[in-house]
Amino acid sequence: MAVEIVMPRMGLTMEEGTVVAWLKQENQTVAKGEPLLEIETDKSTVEIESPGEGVLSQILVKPGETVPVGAVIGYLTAPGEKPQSSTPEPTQAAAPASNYATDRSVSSAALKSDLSGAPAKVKASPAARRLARQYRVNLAEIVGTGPGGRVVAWNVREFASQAIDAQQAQLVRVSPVAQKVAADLSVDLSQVKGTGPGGWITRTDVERSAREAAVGATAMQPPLIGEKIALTRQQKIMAERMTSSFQGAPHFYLHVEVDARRLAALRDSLLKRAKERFGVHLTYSDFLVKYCALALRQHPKVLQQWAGDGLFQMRNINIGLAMDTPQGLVVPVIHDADQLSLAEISRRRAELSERAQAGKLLPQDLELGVFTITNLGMFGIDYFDAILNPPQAAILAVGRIKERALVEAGQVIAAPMMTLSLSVDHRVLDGATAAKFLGDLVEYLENPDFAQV
Amino acid sequence: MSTRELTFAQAIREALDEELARDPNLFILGEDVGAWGGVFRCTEGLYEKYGPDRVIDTPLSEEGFVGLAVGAAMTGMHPVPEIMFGDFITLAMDQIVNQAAKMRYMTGGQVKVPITFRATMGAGRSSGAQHSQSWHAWFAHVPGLKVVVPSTPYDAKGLLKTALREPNPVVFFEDKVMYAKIKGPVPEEEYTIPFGKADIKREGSDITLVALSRMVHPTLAAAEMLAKEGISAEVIDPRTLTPLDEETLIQSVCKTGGAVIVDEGYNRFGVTAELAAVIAYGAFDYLDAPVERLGAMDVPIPFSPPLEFTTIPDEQKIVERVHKVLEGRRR
Repeated sequence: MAVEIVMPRMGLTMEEGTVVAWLKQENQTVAKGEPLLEIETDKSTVEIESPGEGVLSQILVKPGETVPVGAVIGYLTAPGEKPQSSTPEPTQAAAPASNYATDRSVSSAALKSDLSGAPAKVKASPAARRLARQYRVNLAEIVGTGPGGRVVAWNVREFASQAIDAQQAQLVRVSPVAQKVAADLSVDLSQVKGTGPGGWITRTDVERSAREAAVGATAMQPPLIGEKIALTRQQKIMAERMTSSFQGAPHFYLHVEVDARRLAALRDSLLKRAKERFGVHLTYSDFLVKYCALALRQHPKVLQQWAGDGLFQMRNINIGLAMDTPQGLVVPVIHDADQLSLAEISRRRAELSERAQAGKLLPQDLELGVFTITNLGMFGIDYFDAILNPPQAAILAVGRIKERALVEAGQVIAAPMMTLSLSVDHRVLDGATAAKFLGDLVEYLENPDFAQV
Repeated sequence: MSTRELTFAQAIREALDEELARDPNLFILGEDVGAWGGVFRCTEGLYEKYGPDRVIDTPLSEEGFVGLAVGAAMTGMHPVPEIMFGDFITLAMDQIVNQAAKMRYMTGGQVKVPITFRATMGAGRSSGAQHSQSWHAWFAHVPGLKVVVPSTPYDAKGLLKTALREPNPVVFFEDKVMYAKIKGPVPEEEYTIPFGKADIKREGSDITLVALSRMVHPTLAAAEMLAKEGISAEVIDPRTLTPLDEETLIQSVCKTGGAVIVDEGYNRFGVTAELAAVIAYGAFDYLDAPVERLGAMDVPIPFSPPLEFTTIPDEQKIVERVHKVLEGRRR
């Protein structure tokens, strides 16, 4: 029975690969471990070893062609066995295939199936499977700690967070001795400029950085007129994330004034009935979540996220709402907001707000946001620009609704107006794409009836 | 709102008393419910207060007096037959399942059967195999019957008052061990509790424990033991089996990722199986381990106390099941 040769996954973020060259021709015999083909990933070109001994009976993907990870690119058959054909093989042909039992080396990555042809089933709980889909990690790479080695939810969470750490660690290429010196001198390697080959950080770089920091610290030391306040965990996270976002993501901002007459009238007309019928207090934030969700559904590009060497297309419209709490800024997430009614959004927002105020948000309340709304209208702010909430590509900053002059049919009238500012990651979206999204959002806000269409 | 502590039996008695006063069509019948006040003291004083026409002593004849009650209900009365030991509800099975549960449907809605069957359940009194069983699952299986399984004096009174105003047959199960032993706050003021609304008896985030009737109490004790280990257990009491508040169960398990279901009925084809199926379907993508079912062992309930307590759930067994569900999860 033929063994499938598949496009292997060579890294966490690899989604597809290109065949550069086959190093064997069809019908040529190969030994196990012998170089079989070269593939190119988004990072490098890799030689793939033969997963077993036999004949390269069929090449399905020709050099230069790109296929997704896991796609079958060729077949290997046992010596003397007939090549893969459309007619089913007689079952006795399966016997010699046992030669192809895989070991756990890199080459086994190219072997998708076991001998029966069925993909090896990973034992994982449904919750773990759901999280693996959301975090885009491969369950087969995760060691399960549940009964009988079952992968459970926290194994996936742990694995995903380690994978992210590892990716970040990879960005800083550093020699082992420099790493040790950095630890001794408490130097943050991400702040050190490497002068070695390919930006490699050397011991000299670390020592220079430490000296500069010491000099800088002395030079910039302000006169001691206050005291240092330790950071809470939330303040520390906010500082780190905002710094990396503001320095790392090229921001641009789109501003627009919204005529809020119809929105205000709609909210006024629904407020009492929504309270009586559904027990919810409708806020402008609820409407914003609803209309952003609808507009995001029409503009899935806004859901993309920069990943260093590619873009992730996020699917679920999970909208974060920045909230002020006694513990500081938090951004709980309303998941699948496009699937929820206004009353459901309002109820969920109220629940999250209550838990946020009490400091009782759960990890899942904060996970997997793809877009953020931050509203300072209640603080009397007219408009402002927000810093992107990484890794999201857009954040909407909302000012207060206030009576302002509006020109309509040549007349200046007073009307409730609201100013929106959309901050955008220019690595992911260009101005025109973001403007179309914002335009559709404004359309909903100015003509709420349109949201019913 | 002023409250006082009542026993489970006193709460039942108060609901009966108030509804007898409110509804002239209501009457109680059963074995020793009248002059003797009920073997579990649930009708104490009612015979003296409302007279022998409204609190009627019957012979040992479940099929007879339940059949009589079903007939009375069809003619517009609201009878409340008491099955002293729920085990012998088997004798009246045809009246309840084939007559009371069917009439409204088979007459195209022309005949209503407003009747509240009160029956006991529960083991733990060394009463032997014929006086210790919990048959609530049987009735939850039958379309046309509502099944109520309260766990506290507060719930018992509020749910019984709802049952006594319900225009359809209700089977109301009272765990006999709770009558004198379980006390709790009950408001002086009038209140009712709607059917189909589960009560979260304790909030938690690590695991969902579902329990009903008396099993709520060892389950709450187990949750307390688990809290000492740093495990936060949520305890949910469905309170009624039909209608069943599926939403609350599913939402809780979506939050916690695991569930143990505790019931004093038998596991096999029982309440634990049904609730596990509801959870497995509704919260499938959120389950981190199979749902655990802890019911009575599938044997006749033994007379000997050590054997009897072996067959029914208790705190320790619940804690063990929780550990099994959480195996391999980070603490």
